[in-house]
Amino acid sequence: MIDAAQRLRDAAGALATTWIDPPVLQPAGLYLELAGEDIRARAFMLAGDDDAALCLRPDMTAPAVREALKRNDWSAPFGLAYDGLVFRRQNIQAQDIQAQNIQAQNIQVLGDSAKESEFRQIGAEVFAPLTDIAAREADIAIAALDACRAVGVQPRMRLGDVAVFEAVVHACALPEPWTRRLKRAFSRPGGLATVLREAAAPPAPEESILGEALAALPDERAEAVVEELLADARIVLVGGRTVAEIAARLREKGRAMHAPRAEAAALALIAEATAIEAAPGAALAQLREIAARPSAKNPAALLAALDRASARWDAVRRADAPDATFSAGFGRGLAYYDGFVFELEAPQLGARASLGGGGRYDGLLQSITSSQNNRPPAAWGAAGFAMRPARVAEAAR
Amino acid sequence: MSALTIAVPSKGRLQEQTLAFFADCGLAISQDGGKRGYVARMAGQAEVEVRLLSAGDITAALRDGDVHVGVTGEDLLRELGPAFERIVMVKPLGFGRADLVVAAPAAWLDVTTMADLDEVSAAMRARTGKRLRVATKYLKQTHAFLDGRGVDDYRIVESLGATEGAPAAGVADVIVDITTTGQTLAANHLKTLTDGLILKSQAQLAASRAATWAPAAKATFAAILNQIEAREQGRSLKLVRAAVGAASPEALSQLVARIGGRLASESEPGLIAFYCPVERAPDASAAAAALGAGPVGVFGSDYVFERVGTLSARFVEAITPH
Repeated sequence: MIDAAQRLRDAAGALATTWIDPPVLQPAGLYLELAGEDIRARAFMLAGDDDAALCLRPDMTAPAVREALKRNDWSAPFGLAYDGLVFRRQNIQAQDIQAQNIQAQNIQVLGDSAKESEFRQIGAEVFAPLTDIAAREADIAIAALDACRAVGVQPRMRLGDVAVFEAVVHACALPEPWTRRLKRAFSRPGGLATVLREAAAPPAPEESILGEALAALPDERAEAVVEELLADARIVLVGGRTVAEIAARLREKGRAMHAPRAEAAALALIAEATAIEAAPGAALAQLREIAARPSAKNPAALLAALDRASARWDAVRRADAPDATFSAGFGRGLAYYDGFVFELEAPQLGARASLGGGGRYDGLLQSITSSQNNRPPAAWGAAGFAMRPARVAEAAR
Repeated sequence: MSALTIAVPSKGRLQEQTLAFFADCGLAISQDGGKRGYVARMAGQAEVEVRLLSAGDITAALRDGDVHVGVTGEDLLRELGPAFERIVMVKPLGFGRADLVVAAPAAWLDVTTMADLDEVSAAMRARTGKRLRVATKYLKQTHAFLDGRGVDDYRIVESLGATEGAPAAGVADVIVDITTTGQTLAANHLKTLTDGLILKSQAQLAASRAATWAPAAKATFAAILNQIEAREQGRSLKLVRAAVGAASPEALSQLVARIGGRLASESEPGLIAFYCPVERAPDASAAAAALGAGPVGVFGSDYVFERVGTLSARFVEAITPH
């Protein structure tokens, strides 16, 4: 019998220079900072003081980045391969998913179709300068795909690109906070539809007389006014913000009273662009058509992102990728992917049954380092895949 | 074991108010003579064992089915998360009122709403890479509430002691906590956000679906609920009695209907008696007299029992598996 795990290990090993065995217990704070409070419901959190609290690793990517950061040598690209257990709560997730309407958006929530609370993952994470990393994305997806095909499984491939999504939002030049809120909502099931709905009918801008008055003053005068107000009211400043920040935002609020609303046409464009799911060639062509519309005020970055997505798809297609779709609304849970994302699915195991996937996460590499001493060069990026050998074996039967 | 165990708070104002509530309903709770300080009996209810526990322990005991019934704060019950489904809140008791709120530093003059908090948290994270720190012991309700308001860039700092001091101590930026008057918040240089009310909490008489409800336990608690409801009705209703006199019986019946009253069993030929809401009793009586009835007497009732109590019926319906 052909061993699915062995094929996946071969694929991971081919991309990597080193095999790693990161600790099962990871700092809970790492995931809370990266993925937010949602992770409390998804990961097995162990009791402990907040700063020292641990969790069973819910994925291998963040631990692999932590291993990468132990290195001092960033002179050449390198890859880290792993084969180990990850742990995710399944019951609570199922409730979360039912509670939210996920039809409007095809976010692949971590292990959403899985029943197991612990399962084996085999994968590889590749670290390289930004100039090299894009060229490796297709290789990573193809390596995972080929490992499946080697055991007779022909997966369905779902492709996405968080950078394309963000470029769609930027192209529309929405007034804040909508650009920021849409970007954040992306990795949350149903989040996009909710924020689009709210942006279409926003509350009237709050009246801030103080803000309006401060907006007319120079910076340091505005700050002095706030200082004086607080002193007169005998209010002590607590919490992690300065008077300067408070004054600056009051001025912003004063100006925002006259800010324009998000255009309905722009919101409709975002909804339409993220709803597209089709064969990659066709989907990317439709997105190009959308980029040419008047509502897409700043299409340059979007067109550049679409060029990169097209080049990547050409490389994947050369590997004879069979059944593939692309959607700008497709993302993977744990919000740290910020570019290319892919998921391999086995329809024979059920709708949206995932065999694994991966993608690009430059931001994660940089944000983890901000809390450690070892930093990679700023111009480095990362991408990888993580597959579930048990699922691949099951699909092969 | 007794047929029915009821847990009541073992200390503080909540205990006083709970004991006063049951005593007023004719269900006075008295401590067992010395042998075990934390077990008590209920007047007229031989099958009931009363346990004195902390409000937190009562919540856990209801979750685990260790007691049938308990009096505890709604804020604590809702913090059970998914296990809240095991709880039937049978009757809000009208005391132990407190608001679960989001409070931010009073000095944050630019922050008055949750939308402000969302923007500020995003800006903090963009600037420092760190999330807004929210101190609370209400982890689940905080997460659900902030999530529902689209606030993402925060981290909960679990607080076990004086939450309101966390921002001044430099370990948090904002808090989620219980407040009654807002004075403690103000003393700690905090203010509530205008749309930051998470829950208006009060003490609840709650039953546990996780407990084993033998028919005797169900019947005993149903009887207690009937008595509580009868006492409540007794307080809110007056009995009006009058000789029909020259009044037309039809006009009197219409009057009773108009004021939301009900004919009482004391009605007999030549005499009308009806229950009416306390606040309507004077004008209803005057109106009856004006119709030619009289003399009209108004009486208070200690208890008014219904044939079928709504409270007990609702409880039986909720606790019975379907």
